[in-house]
Amino acid sequence: MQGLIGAHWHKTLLAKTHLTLGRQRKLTAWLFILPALLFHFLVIGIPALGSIYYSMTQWSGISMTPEKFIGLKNFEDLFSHDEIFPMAFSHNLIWMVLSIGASFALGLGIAALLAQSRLGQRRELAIRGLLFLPNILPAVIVAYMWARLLQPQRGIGALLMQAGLPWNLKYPLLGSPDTALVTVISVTIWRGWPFLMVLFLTAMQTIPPELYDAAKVDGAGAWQQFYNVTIPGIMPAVFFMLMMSAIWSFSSFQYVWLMTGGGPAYSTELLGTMLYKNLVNNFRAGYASAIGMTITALSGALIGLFTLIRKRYEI
Amino acid sequence: MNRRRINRWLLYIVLTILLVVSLGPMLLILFTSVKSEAEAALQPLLPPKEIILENFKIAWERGQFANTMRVSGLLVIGTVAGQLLLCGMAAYALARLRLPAMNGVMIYLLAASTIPFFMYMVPLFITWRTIHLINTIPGTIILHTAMGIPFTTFLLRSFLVQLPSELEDAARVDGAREWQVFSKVVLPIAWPAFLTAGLLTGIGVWSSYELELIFMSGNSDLLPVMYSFSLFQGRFSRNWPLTSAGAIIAIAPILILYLAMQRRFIEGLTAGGLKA
Repeated sequence: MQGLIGAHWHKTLLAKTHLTLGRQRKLTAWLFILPALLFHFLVIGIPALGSIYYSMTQWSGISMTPEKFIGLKNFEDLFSHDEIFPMAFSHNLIWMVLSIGASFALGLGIAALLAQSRLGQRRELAIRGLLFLPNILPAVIVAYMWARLLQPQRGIGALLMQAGLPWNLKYPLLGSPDTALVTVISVTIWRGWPFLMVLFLTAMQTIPPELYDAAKVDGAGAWQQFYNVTIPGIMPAVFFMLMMSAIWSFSSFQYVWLMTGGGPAYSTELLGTMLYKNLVNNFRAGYASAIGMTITALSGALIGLFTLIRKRYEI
Repeated sequence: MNRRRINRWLLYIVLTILLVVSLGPMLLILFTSVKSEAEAALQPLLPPKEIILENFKIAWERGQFANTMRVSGLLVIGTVAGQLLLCGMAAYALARLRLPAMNGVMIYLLAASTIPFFMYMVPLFITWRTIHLINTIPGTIILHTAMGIPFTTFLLRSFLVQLPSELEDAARVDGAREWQVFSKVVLPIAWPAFLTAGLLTGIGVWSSYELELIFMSGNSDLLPVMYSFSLFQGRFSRNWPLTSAGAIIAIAPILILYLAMQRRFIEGLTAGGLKA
């Protein structure tokens, strides 16, 4: 008798806690999320939205006179009348293609190499740790380092010439309009590819070995295994990183700013450096916002493109 | 058998080349930093004939590292504290307390992580200047904290989701309120994830340049370490040993942390890309 009453009482208690727990948990969940969400929205979301408005104004950003709404004139100036814009935009495109191409090739290639090698876990971790080191260096230090090493008179070129190499290696790679952009891009590749390598290596190592066994039973050689098992297995990660890398490349700024400042002769000017100069040197906050919106629109277009591709090919 | 040996040798050659190219530059800078100015004038990059440690002492003083490291240290502590608190709570809610609207939150965070810095920089710069938060430590902490919210939330969430929920459920049945479940049950188990997140955030703030260039460069007494170094190496650009020593000082904390906690570091960073 007591047992029955006890069981009934216990059930009711649980049922009650369940009900109140439901509504209470909902409230608690929101209380847990809202601080982060509100914080982010206030500090970043609202200015981002405000940027849409400011991009359509003529405004210095410093004087007391308020901004003047001028519709799309900033964009018209930017696309049709600004001589630097086509250069900067083409540089960003070159940056995107070269940096992604080279760093992905290296990252995938070396990851595949390491995944297939039988080096043993300890050695592989050690190598991974050493190769990753450039990626943890701050941009300022990387830029400083390479600006020194690439210096024509005292850098690596001079060193190699002293060692006896015959060619004229004292070429100012950062100082010539022909080579400056590619040189800066190469520095970012130097720093960036280990991240991709480690990412892809980890992705490769999470592919179930049974898939490889099945392929071997079907008579697949090393290349076929790579093509039919490895690549599909890591495709989501590769695809995601492709999209993010493409988006990030349009925000490139630091390395150019620290190594060349946009020169020589605008040969390394990027959308990012254009924005900064217009804001800080030319006091054109509205125009700078328009450049910012352009960068954002390009990112949005890339997201759209990649989403389409993903849906179409079911990645 | 023969082909395997060739492949082996190929692997070794490729790895050696990569290691030389990746680590060589840092080694050269190290060589330069322990040379006298005279020796460096002749040949900055070769191994030193004489090792001099003076440069480090002079660089520390001339580069005002005591002050700039203090500033950056405060930025790190403030940002890490803010992010772990805000993102820890949010990640817990996203991982455990299931709600349909949570999907909307995740989409917002994902979209937020693709917004380029340049989109919100201009209005933010004007706003910060107007409310006098520019060139202040709290103001910059707020910026760093906000900017890292999407990444840190995703990182913590992906870890919390993997935790088995029995302990939490037991605590809930025992009548614990949600905050107690979070602080007394989840945190003691999940601290490695928080450590990783804190590490990555901290190093990011220490290394940061672009944000500081705009929001923290105006007060010469309150400069963060990387921006200050960029000025330092420009001012003493002729003196390679001095600036090299300064560079090594600037990254010393990062290097030490990295060598001590390599795996945590790498796994934390790449978890973001794999989550996709």
